[in-house]
Amino acid sequence: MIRTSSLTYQYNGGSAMRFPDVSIEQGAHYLILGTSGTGKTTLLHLLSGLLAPRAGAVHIKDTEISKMGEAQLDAFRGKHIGIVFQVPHFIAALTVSENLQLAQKLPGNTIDVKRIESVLTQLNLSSKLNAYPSQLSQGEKQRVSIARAIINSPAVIFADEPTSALDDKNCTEVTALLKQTAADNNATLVIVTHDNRLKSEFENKIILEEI
Amino acid sequence: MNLLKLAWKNLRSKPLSMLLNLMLFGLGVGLVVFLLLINHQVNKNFENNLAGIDLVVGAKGSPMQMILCNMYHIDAPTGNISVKDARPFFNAKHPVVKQAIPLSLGDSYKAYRIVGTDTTFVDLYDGKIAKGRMWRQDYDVVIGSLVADRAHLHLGDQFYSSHGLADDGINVHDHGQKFRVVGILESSQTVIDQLILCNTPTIWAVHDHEEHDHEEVGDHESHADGHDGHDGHEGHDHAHHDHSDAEIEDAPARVFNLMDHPEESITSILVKFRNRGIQALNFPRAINEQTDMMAAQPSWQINRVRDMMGSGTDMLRLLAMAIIFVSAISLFISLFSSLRGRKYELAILRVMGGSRKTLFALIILEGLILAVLGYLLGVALGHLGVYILGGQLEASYKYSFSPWIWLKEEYLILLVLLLLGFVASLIPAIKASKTPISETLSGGEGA
Repeated sequence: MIRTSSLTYQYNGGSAMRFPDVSIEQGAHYLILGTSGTGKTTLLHLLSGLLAPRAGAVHIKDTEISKMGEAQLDAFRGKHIGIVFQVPHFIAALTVSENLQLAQKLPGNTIDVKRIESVLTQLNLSSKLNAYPSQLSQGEKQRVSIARAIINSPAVIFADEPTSALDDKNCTEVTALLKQTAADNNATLVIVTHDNRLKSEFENKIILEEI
Repeated sequence: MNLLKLAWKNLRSKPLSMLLNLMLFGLGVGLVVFLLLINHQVNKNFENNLAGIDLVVGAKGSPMQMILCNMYHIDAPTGNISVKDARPFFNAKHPVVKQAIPLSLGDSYKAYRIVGTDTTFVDLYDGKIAKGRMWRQDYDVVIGSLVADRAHLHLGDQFYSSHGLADDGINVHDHGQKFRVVGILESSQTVIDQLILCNTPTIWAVHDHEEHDHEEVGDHESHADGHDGHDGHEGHDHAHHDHSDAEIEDAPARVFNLMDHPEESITSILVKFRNRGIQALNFPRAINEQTDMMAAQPSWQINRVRDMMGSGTDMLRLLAMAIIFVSAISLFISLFSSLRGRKYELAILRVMGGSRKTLFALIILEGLILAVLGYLLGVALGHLGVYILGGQLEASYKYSFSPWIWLKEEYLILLVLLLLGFVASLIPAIKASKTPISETLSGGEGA
């Protein structure tokens, strides 16, 4: 499902980062752990195509995304990859529903309001359909960003420190929701984190060493 | 939820910035449109009223004043000329003059000028009788469509005239015989819409009265303006005080030949040439040098008026273009500075499946929407300006300005605005399309 081989990346002026080869099967839930400075986020951006590797290859769903053109990759990401960030960002001028409609429209899918309603209901957000992002609490924002990540029923959901800004109660809730929605949508879930609260929740772990 | 909608919602979420940009564009475009509308209509007015007149001959004075007075009826006469002096122009065998039309001015009704002339004057402007008939008798008047409308005159109505062009109620000839409306002209979009026309002897008759009363002999011009009221007038008795409508139809035409009255005077002569040969070219100079009269060519004088007006409107147009230029810069600045606050949104759009082109198009669309809305506001303001100020301009130009015309230049302005909107948003759009998504979304956490 997700395969990497001899992946390296180098920031401008930085030393080269080598990542261990990763192989994650369809529908599995993985945790990528590491202290800060181990390149967790870089790896997640490489896996999701937000960064292009200096060398090596990334395969998702038998497609080598590291060889795709930029615009092609944008569309692929929109359709098949959902990403949840540490700090959720939305289009502030649009309501929750409109943000999700845009997420359907941009990669070329048709707008499906029923799907939006059902996903929001799943995440216990049905009352926030017409709320603006600025009107949401931190926990609600993170749940909406999960909704956005799964709106197109992606093959993979990546989450970058999804719980580090949340209190224990929200942390447990969001983790459970991520696992639940990934399972419901038959999506592979990969969480990058240094949040020790998550360790016990996942069986599969990849630990990054300091470079 | 498409890009256009997104662009619009983005703009709407910053209403103050949008308002500023719209006001700037609206002001600039509004001023340009206003100037275009006024200029166009003033020029059209001048052209419509040239009426193929090659020369105006009148008393010596300012040639421009003479043209404005005798062709556009927006100024006082330069004086009078005697019929004796004018006689050669009415010679059918004159080598240069094909047609000569006498004008006698001096009176008005409710600020609408009364013109004593012959019926060929109406043909000059292709005037057609809408109701009633042409004048046949002294004191018969045919009125322009605008006069009928604004002064509420109908067939058979009677009125006294006032001296000069002012409607101040002071200089009313409230004695003697009344003018009687026998005909109303169709609207012709020329100056005759605003005139009250009668035969030449009527003007003489009104003024003969004056001279008897005030014992002013010979100098008509002394009471062209600022004349005092009239008093003590009981002695005169006129036979035809009450004309009925039936009489309008039946009255026999008065036979009148200007040449039989060499001792009288008229204000001016409108002249058409047989051809524009050398003789015609030298004709005005010959008149100016060899007679007590003055000749002036309408086209020359009108060009002088245009030049004078032109420098004023040129300044305003320059100002308008400066405002539009500043609007474009303001648009550029507000789009450019909005990028910093929006970098997360732009990066998120990429994550959601938007491409660089999507981001580029989004910013360009925002610029174009503002430009188009600014244009629409400007066009509305420009036409509104003509609507509001048209009344004031009408009083001084004797021409009604319509806000309801649409010039093809206005489409041209839209093109210019679209181009400006595009150019102003080009650099912000390129910058937006280069938003580094990974760097932005890793929030500085980096490696």
